[in-house]
Amino acid sequence: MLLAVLVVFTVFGAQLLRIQGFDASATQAQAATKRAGVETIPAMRGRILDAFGTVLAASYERRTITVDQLAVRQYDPKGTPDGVVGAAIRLAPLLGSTVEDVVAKLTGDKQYAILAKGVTPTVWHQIAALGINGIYSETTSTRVYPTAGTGAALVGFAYGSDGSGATGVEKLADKTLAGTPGKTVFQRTRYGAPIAGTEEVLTAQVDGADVRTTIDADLQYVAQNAIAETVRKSHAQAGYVIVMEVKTGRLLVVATAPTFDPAKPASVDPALRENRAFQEIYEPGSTGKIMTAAAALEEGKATPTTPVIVPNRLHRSDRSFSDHNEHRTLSLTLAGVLAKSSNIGTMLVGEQLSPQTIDGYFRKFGIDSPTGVGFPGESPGILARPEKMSGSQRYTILFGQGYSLNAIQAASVYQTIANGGLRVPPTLIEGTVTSDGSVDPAPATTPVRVVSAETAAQVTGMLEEVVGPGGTAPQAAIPGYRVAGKTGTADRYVIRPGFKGYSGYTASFIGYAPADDPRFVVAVTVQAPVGIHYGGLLGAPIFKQVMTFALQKYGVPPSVAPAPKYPLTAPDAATDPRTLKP
Amino acid sequence: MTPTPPPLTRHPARPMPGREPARRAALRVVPAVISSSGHVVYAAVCIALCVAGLVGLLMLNTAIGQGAFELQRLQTQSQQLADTAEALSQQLDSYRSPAALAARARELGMVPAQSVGFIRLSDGVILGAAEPAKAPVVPAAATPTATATTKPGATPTATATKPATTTKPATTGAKPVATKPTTKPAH
Repeated sequence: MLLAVLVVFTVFGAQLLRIQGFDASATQAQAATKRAGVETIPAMRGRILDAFGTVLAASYERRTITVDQLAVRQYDPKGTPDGVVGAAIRLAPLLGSTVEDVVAKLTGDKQYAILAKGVTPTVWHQIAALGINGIYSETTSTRVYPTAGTGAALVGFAYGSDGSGATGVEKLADKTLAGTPGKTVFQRTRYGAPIAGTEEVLTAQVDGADVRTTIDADLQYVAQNAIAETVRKSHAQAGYVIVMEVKTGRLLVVATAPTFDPAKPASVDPALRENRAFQEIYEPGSTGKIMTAAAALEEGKATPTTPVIVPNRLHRSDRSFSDHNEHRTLSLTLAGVLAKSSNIGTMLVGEQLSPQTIDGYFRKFGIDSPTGVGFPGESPGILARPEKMSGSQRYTILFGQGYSLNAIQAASVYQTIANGGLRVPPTLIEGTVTSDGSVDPAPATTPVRVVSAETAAQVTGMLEEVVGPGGTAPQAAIPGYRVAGKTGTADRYVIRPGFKGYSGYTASFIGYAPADDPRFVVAVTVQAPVGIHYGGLLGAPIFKQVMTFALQKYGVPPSVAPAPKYPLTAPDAATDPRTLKP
Repeated sequence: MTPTPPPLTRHPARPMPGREPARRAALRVVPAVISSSGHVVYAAVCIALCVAGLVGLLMLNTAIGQGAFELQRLQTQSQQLADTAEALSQQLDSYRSPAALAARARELGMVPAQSVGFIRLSDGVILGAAEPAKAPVVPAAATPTATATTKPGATPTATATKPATTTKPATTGAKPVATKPTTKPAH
């Protein structure tokens, strides 16, 4: 008897020892998981700000209201009716829904069903105060874009309502913006309802940091409206305006049209959500001529007053080249060649340099290499190596055809000249806002010396003639300020099903002001306009509008010194020994 | 202490301890009176202390309870205020957006300036091209009172205000740019 008791108790003891001693942690964990519920607390996504703190994107807390349909039946308030109907009558006005709809959602046998999404915390507290059985909430957040369509393709959007960044700055700075979600554990009843007061933070969530961009939201708005109107009026495929700060390379505006509502990205064609300023590459046409001119000046092959005899046709390689208009043989200076935007004149100047030399300058200007912004989906463009070029290509690249770039690169070329020959790679992110409100700056870029300050000043002087009475873009002139710029009307290379070749035009105007101390580069590009397609007529008015606003907002004093006057024609070209002839 | 041996000699002058009180205990009258009144006082003090302790404890509990209620009330209030602050900052973000500001400016009859001019404060010289801003040209069909915009004698402010009250000139090209805040402010 005693032996039997001893054996039984030994077994009991051993079992006790096993459960309490050896397997204690496992058993406890098992019990805890049965009892404990885990809720993920989402990290609040950081905001995207402009250079002045205007909010371009921000996240706000929202609640998803859930219901335990078994528990809500037990609702027994003081007044009648009770149960599901009573709950619905009280909930409907707060949820902005009809009683019938709420009744439908509350009825059933599910212990978990979603009643409403995107409810503000204020409304949730009112709901919670009702004390209805079985009504719970989960914390979520929503992404809001206060500037809406202004710069939607630039700011981008986030997956879902507030997930990871899908495009634009949302994707570019996703790591900084995202943060780390936290975990809260709570004990729950047999039915899964949390027991009040048992919540315990397991890991605190780390909210994402705010990202400050270099964008000026006011200027972006003005540019966006201007380009949207022109794209609409000219039935163009797309258009973009880039504004860059000359001394720093900071992008103040990247406006693209057509745009979309970032709050409803799913409602538009994915192609429309791209940022075409970074992603679309095109042949620049005449705006590219300044690289040829700058290279020739820098290499000492020409000066702004070098005479050039420009015939109506010029045969090179296997092609006969022409200018935009038919003309008799002209005697122009290099300044005149740029002011009138002559392809033949530019070829005569550019062919003084070897293809390798031209290639070297183009690449230093940033052609065929990424902008450095790291924008999602960015395309660096195409520039064939001299040894791989077709026979006529070495001539076409001199006047901006036969290679391609994106709009940011095109603006960067003018930033280089405006900044005295020093190219400062463009930047879009100023930095991350730290917890004390200061900005932790993004890594600095390394400027590249492309041409000398003297060459740059000469190019600027010649570009001032473009907006003068003898140039192609008097529409870009701003009273009181010296403006330098260049028009471009390029043949547009398109690849679409069943067609590959040139069709339509790219109209552009890129310029900077004040020419005596440049502050801003404004680059306007209109893709495939219908009807009028001259850069001087489509691009220059937008340039003027956006530049005027920028000069005003930043309080830039008007130009004082008079512009250098270069002669556009060379009457004694026939006798001048420097003359470049066909 | 205990191992210390007792002294071998005694001082005869020293009285035996306890002997005298024992002798006095025989006189019962005075101690009885004293002890009975002492017990009552003692009991009273004990009861008073007990009551005071209990009352104190009760008050302490009440105070803690009230503190808890106050804490909960303040926590709720803090939460509500935080929620209100967030709702307001969301509203502010949408009011601060350039599109909303431009719309408000148009409502007030303002028009964008077409030229840039500055006054140099040191000598009062006007720099740049300071011209009165004109309202953007609106197609005649869209302007019910077209005369107001073309009237040459009108003051700059008058020409500026007219089109804004009759039409919305600046919204013509702004199709993609929503002038309304995209989100409903929380209430």
